[in-house]
Amino acid sequence: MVISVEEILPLIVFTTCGGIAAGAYGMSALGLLCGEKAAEADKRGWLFPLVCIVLLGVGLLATLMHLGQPLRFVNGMANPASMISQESYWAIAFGVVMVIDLVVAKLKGQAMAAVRWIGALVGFGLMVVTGLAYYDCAFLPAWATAVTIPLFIVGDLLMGAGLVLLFERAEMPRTLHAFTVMAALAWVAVAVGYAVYLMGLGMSAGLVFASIVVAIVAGAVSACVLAGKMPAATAKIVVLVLAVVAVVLARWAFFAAGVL
Amino acid sequence: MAETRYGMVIDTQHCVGCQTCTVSCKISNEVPGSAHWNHLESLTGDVLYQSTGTFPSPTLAFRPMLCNHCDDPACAKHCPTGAMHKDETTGIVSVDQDVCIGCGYCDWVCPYGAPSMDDVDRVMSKCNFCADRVAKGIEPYCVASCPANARIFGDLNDPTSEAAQLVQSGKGRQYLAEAGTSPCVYYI
Amino acid sequence: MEDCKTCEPEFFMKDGKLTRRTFIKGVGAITVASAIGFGSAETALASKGEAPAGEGEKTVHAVCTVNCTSRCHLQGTVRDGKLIRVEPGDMPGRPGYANACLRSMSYIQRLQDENARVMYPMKRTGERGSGEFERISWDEAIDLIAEKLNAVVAKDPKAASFYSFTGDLGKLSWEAPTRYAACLGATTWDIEGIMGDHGASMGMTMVFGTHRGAHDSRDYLNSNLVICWGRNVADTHTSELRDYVAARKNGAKVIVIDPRQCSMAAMADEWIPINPQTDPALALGMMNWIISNDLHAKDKLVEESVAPYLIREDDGHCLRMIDGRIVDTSEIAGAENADGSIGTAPAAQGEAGAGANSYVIWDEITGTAVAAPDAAAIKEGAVKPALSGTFTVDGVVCRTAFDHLAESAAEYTPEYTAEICGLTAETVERLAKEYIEAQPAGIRMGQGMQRVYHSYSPFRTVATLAMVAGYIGVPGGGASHAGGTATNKPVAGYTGPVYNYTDWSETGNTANMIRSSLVYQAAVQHDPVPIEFLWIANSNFINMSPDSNYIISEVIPAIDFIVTADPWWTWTAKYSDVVLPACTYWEHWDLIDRSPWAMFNQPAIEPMGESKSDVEIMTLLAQKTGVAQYWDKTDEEWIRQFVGTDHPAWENLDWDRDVVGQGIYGRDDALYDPAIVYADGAGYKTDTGKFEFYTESMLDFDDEVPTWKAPAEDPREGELAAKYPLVYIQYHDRLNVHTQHILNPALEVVQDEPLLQMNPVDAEARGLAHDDIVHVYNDRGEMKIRLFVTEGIIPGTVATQSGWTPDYFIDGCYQNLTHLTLCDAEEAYSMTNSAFYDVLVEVEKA
Repeated sequence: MVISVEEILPLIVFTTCGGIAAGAYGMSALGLLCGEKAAEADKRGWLFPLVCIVLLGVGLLATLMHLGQPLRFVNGMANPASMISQESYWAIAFGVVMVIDLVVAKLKGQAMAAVRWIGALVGFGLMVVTGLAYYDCAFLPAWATAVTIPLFIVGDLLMGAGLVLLFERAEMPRTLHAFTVMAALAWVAVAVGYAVYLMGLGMSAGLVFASIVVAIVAGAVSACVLAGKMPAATAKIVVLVLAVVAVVLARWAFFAAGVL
Repeated sequence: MAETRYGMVIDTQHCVGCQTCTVSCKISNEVPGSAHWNHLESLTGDVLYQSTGTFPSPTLAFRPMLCNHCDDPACAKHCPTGAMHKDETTGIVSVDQDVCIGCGYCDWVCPYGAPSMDDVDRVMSKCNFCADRVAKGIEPYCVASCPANARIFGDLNDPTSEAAQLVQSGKGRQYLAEAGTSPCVYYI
Repeated sequence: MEDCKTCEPEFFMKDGKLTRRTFIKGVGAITVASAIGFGSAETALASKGEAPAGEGEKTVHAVCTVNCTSRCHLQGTVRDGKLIRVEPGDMPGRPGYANACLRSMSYIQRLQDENARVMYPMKRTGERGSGEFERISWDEAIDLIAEKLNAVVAKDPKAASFYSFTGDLGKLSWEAPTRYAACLGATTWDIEGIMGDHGASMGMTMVFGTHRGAHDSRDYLNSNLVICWGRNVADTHTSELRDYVAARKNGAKVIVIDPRQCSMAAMADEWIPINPQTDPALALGMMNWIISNDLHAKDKLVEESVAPYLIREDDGHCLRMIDGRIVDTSEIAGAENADGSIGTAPAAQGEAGAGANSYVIWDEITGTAVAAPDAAAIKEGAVKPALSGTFTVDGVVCRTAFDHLAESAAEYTPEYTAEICGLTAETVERLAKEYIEAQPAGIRMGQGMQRVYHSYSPFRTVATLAMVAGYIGVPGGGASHAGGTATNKPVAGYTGPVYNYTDWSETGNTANMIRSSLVYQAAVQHDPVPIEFLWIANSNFINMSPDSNYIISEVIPAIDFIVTADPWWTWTAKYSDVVLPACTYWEHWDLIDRSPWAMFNQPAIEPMGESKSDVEIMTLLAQKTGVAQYWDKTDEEWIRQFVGTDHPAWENLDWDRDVVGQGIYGRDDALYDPAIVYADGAGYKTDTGKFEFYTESMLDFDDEVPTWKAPAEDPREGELAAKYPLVYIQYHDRLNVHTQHILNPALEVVQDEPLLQMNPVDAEARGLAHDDIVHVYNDRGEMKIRLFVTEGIIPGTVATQSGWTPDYFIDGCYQNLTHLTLCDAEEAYSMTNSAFYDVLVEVEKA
């Protein structure tokens, strides 16, 4: 039942890297839905899936680090009822879709919206089973709360929004910045909920509050861009970094709170 | 339902907290590294060996913990590999260390903190009710060594066993029954 | 007792074969018809069994010879020459007694760790205490020691000292160094005094005439109340625990009287938190309540105790009558033989009942003073001794001893008792009432209450309480010390010794045994003997004796040459000039003979390094010191000789089967029933042949009847109390008996450092919190230690576990704080008992 600090790092890396990729596909698909055409027009459309593949790969390597017997990782897919197996299924599926996306983008010179949509759905599945994996730990009070699931979904989407911004070629991707603001607001709501929950358990929620502040700044930066008070080129890097920092802070608190 | 369903009744009224069970299990089963298949908790407080309540009539009581060999074990349910499994003929829950990937997830989902990482072989390890001894009709080490006779081991499906009778009489209660895993360890 | 239900379980008969505890009905299960509740007697009393050895494994046996005195038969498993496992070994005739504690199980880890063991003979190269040694050969070591020893012995054999204490209670290990001393006429040190176990022996001897005596713990099935008084049976005599559990399940209430809520209190119905050092006051308070309510056992007191004996008002001595004539006290001077050694030997003070006929009682039938009759005569009604009253005999005014006792007790009103003991008056009264109404109630006494100044008082007074209540010699009663097991029954018509110790006893000379309370004085002041050569065996002398700073700064430097034979690199070893590697009980032949069983040690594994048994070591030394003729056998040859007699006890002994195969032999003549002591008023080993709560030799110390005296370091008043307001006590816990088990790796999960227990009231007053590092100190020394705040200790008292070595303290050591203060009364009676729990300290945040 006790989780050591050495155990936290691989979990952070996996949920962060894999989560960015999944969130980015979700945000990218939402962008397409809302009329952002930039991605399709981008001649370097293959770069986005490549980066996401690399991120997922790093995340998966981190999970291997977490295993006592990494060479046996294939054994870990034997039980569909286990959210750990489910994470493997969804991560692999997500990886396959991203490879298709990469190949299509490379061959066609631009990404296919349908593939992005499939990627977004599979990525969402990965977010959900990841959240469920922790939610299922019924006797780790810090995790066994309904807030755990949005904590992963919304966090991934916030980070994903930051990443998508990075690949946005348009001068002024209003829709994506609007998404970022919304994701940041949603994150603040989820994080406040989680902070209150942790404090209810008598645990420290300092890192979660730090996360909230950072997320508010991230949202504010995007809002400034929308209001035309900040150059978009600088903003997108800032937003990505802030979004990742915000989510990592909260997740550190989340995993550390597993230490009872 | 399995033909045999081994279980244990632990008498917390007479447990003196000596941890002979913990140590006996660790040594006799040659449990490697820092793993432990038994551990001890305070029955009434957070700090082991700290009396609870108020002087001059505080309480000092203990809850010896081991694998509860649940009928619906969370470890097996959530194990991604199937290494954690319940033996249908004895009810004993054990881990196949040749299959286990050492993800540690069973430890997180177990209400009783029973699975313990074998940090030498880097796979999970856990109490198996001393299955080899039990197969020969001999009690688990923790039971045989308990100087207070606080552990009663037996077949819960055998109405003549002392353990089953204690459960039937309602004296023994499951710990964290709300976890829904139907544990086979009962506490008096 | 009329209402006493007598439970005599039927399965104590020796059936000649070992049983194995199983959980399958009908497979070796032993059942008993009794009214025991859940957990049934089968569980409580059946044997704990072991599977046959696995592939490549060998089953081996030993008896644990560490001084908790449980003397458990152990079954070990050896694989590839290493001990891998220890389990309870079977106990023929008494299956429920099979036990192996967590200490004995994990001990094999430490004893097979070459970093913990002394592996080779070592010679000091640095300063004493520096730990700097070089390896030398056995030949070099023996030559060096022999040279020093021969020089000392040539001048004065008594200047050579052999200090063998209780680190290994095996016959050979324990006695080899002192036997060797006897060969030379050298000095040995009577155990118990300095180690703090002697108060019990003195108290027991005062009243019973012998220093041990216990009901078999199964007898508590007959009790309605069992009081563990200063005795944490669960941790310190673990083998008995199951019987208390069975007794409680059988309906007996279990009460624990202890300053700490010890492990035993976890299974008890009630914990009575008493101020340390005040147990005699509580016993007197209970006695007073019982006598005041006219509930004392008048018949038993009159028949079996000195209660009706007439005491002269002029000088406080017993009235004596010789040939029908009252004689002056001076005429019978010397009759009180208070000179007998009561340390190691279970000797009485003088011949039991030797002076019985010279004491006087007042016969109410004839209205005359007559010679004290035995219990039988009183029971028959031939005489009716007055329990109480003042009588004039030949012009000598006398009162009965009982009146003296009642008068002493009368001071202890519930309120006064409560004030001393830190209890409420209601608790004192209720306890007295519950005790007298239990009919019967058993008391298991523990040394925890006697590591105080005037240390004879606790056992003496509590035992007297049991006599006043009528519980001595009664099934389910008693005031027991040690034991747990029965003894042996005499074989009708056979008078030869059970064991053949003839050769072992033949030493050609005798040892000069001196009370161990004087060992510091001897070293520093050469009184009563100088110590020029000191051989320490079976003892971590510095760690387990009071005032370690004094030992290191004064005692050790005063001794020219120190040899320590020990398996471990103890604190003591580091201050020695030569350290010899000794075997543990798993590595050599030995015998435990103090029970219905003969239990054997034999080499289960190869001795670690170049370690040798104590007999082997003494045999080597004997070759160079002119006493080789007494050391002509191997360890195994000695053991074979010990059990090689014609005594019927050994008729069925099969060496290979019983000694080698099972490691234990249940003697054919042994008594396996749950025996009690002093049944039917018989067996008192006192001069009067009765229970003596009146002790003439204590007249000079105003202590002829039980009293409570304030501790040497009294927390109640005075400058010292103002400076150091907390009473500091030690306790033996689950982790260690003494220093031998520190720190077996598998025990780290239980506790990995010494802790200071303190009540939250005292912690708050000092601004301390649980887990703080604190500084504990007095004028003698200090220690830095982690604080463990708990409601389970009486306010005003702090406690640590005994046995931790300095290595595990953040700084200092608990033994820096203790003191050796000679007590005149104890020195007069036999010897001072170290008052380890009579210590004041202050605690502050480090």
